[in-house]
Amino acid sequence: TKLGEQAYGKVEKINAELLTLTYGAMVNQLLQDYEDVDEVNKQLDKMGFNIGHRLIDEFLAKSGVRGRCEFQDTAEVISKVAFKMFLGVSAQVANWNSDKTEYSLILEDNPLADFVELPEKYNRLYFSNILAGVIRGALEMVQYSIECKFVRDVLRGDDKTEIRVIFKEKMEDVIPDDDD
Amino acid sequence: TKMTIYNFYIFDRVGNCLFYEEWHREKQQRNARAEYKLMFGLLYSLKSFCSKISPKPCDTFNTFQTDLYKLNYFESVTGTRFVMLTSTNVPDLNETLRTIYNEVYVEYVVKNPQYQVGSSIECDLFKKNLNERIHRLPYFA
Repeated sequence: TKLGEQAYGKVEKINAELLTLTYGAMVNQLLQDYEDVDEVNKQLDKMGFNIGHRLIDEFLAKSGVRGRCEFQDTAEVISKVAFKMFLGVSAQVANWNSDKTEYSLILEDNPLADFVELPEKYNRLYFSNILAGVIRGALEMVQYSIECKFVRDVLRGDDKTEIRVIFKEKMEDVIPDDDD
Repeated sequence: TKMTIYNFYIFDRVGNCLFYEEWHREKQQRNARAEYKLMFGLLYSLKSFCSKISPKPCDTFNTFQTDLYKLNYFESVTGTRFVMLTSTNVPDLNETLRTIYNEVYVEYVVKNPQYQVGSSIECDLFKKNLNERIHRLPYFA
């Protein structure tokens, strides 16, 4: 938690409402362009994935997190340090499965969704799905292949917002090829 | 002998040489592609050797030296590898390479929207900032 506060102190900040409104405008545009909620969920995830690929380096540089960590440790690092650093809020880790390969991040407070109300016709939309993509992209860069998805969202009438992180495999170093 | 910095490489996780720069390198590079490949192969083997022989898993190395040069190595958690060759009397540059990653590579390469992940680094701001830092090092003669 302290690490999260420190990292948060180091990053440049923008007005939270600017972020919220910009993100909202972007999701709205996607809904108009694709006219299909499932496709928008997919696009948000894809955008997040590309952001995560880059954001991880920024995260490592500013947070001072060093060394490789086990999959279990990623839960604490993401919820307490990364969320705090980039969104200004931390998440709760919950619902581990018995062999410690799946966990949930519970968001009490989601700055992306601050002024949002979802109309009935968009009730399958995961409005903040970009976050799932960011987590997947970032963990892939530290060689964890995972699945990440929203399972509950207060915008859809659930009591909590919950992102599920599921371990798939640890990727190994690539062996240099010897073709010439 | 005076202290000098010879050259600098950046490799990505899969062995592409993303960046190369030399300063006081005396012997000319003959075949760049072959050299990068040899270098990456060496890093890979040495790292895997160090890890296998270590009392604890996931160990790596920071430097090694011969009679004539020292190789300094830093690998980010994301697998980007930074290599700097210097004369043997220069102190270990592991922390310097970490700073180059934190403050130059991340700022001017990763955050550059023009830069495609995995392609060779052509960013002028990166080159400029890197060179300024290297020239400011007390060992750069």
